[in-house]
Amino acid sequence: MGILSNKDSSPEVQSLVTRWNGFLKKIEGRYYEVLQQTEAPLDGVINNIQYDNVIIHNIANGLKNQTVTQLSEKVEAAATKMQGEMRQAGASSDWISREWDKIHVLKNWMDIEYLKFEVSLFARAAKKILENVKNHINEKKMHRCTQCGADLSINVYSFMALNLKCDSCGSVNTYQPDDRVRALEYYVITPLAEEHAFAEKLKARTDKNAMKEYYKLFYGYLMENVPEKKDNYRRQMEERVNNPYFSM
Amino acid sequence: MSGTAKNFNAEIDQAFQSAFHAGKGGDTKWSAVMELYGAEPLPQADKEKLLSSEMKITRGAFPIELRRVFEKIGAKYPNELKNFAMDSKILEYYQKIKPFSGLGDIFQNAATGTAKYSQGLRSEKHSTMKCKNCGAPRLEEMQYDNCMFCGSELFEKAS
Repeated sequence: MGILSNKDSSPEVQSLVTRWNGFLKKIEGRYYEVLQQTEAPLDGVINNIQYDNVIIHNIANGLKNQTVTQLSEKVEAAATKMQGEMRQAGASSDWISREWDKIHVLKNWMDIEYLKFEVSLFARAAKKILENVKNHINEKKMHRCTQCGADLSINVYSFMALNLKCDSCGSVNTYQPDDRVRALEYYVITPLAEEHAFAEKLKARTDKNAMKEYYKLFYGYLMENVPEKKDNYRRQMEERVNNPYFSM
Repeated sequence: MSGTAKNFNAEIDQAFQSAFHAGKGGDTKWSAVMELYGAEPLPQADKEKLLSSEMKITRGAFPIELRRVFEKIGAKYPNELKNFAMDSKILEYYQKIKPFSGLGDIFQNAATGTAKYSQGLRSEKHSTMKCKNCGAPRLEEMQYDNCMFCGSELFEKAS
């Protein structure tokens, strides 16, 4: 007997398969359609963004619901219907199960595509926020000791308060960075680190060892760009990289 | 499933697809379907009124016309019609032809919070911790105890 049972190759079953494939293709099309519709409004949102990406989180939640969540629900409901119709048409269990597997492939595809979209969206927003912060911050501003007026070398892109001892009089000057600069760590550097390491995160969906590489790249980027917290990020990285789950 | 039920479902599906694939408000192909079943089309004036109403559609025939075709099909299959959920089928059709509003809502909601979290941010600040008693500046970064000049406590203790 061939791989197809008599009923599996019947025109009725074959026509159901064609309809099912067509439906799945439409869902794929719908996924792209939704995201395409967001292009123009998202450009507007990113152009108007200031120093935070909270709005992007809100939009991303809504878009994920409109794409991955709702389309997955539709596919699952349709799969149940397809299963019933195939049974009625006399398709074998193997055949139905093969058709059912197509929803896992489609859902996995949607998950990956959405992740790519989301990472690139947050990275776009991050670049715009960085531009806005750079326009706001006066990098050339002179900082002088509050006691003797001597020049202090202060890095305005500091992510935490600094205590600097004046070389001239020895007084300790405390510098509180601009809130916009402090917020860069979360609104800009973290999304850019995610973009930097994203290829490994995708690989890690099928290869646990790639997750180690992802953490190294992700935290490496943070350590490079937030040097004040290097030790903290290194500790977090080591905890994750040495987690036995990722070495199995 | 009996042969009659199969035929009934097939005709319903076919009518549904014809309505769905018709141009916005119906077209000649859809008119032919209506004529075939002897269903009465909406007068042109009503169609125009509906097109400018709040019940927007992006494509396809009007739901009321599809319902009329369904009724004609049902008249041919009275037994099957009894178990046919007419309203929900019409609603399913409307869901497919109405404008996709989800995205508009997402962006509208998001727009209200665009600049909300970028307000009230503080600019950089630069200061020196001084002794409250004698005014001497702090001289060591880790000096959290007493003033080196007069010995007073530099920081108030939590009570």
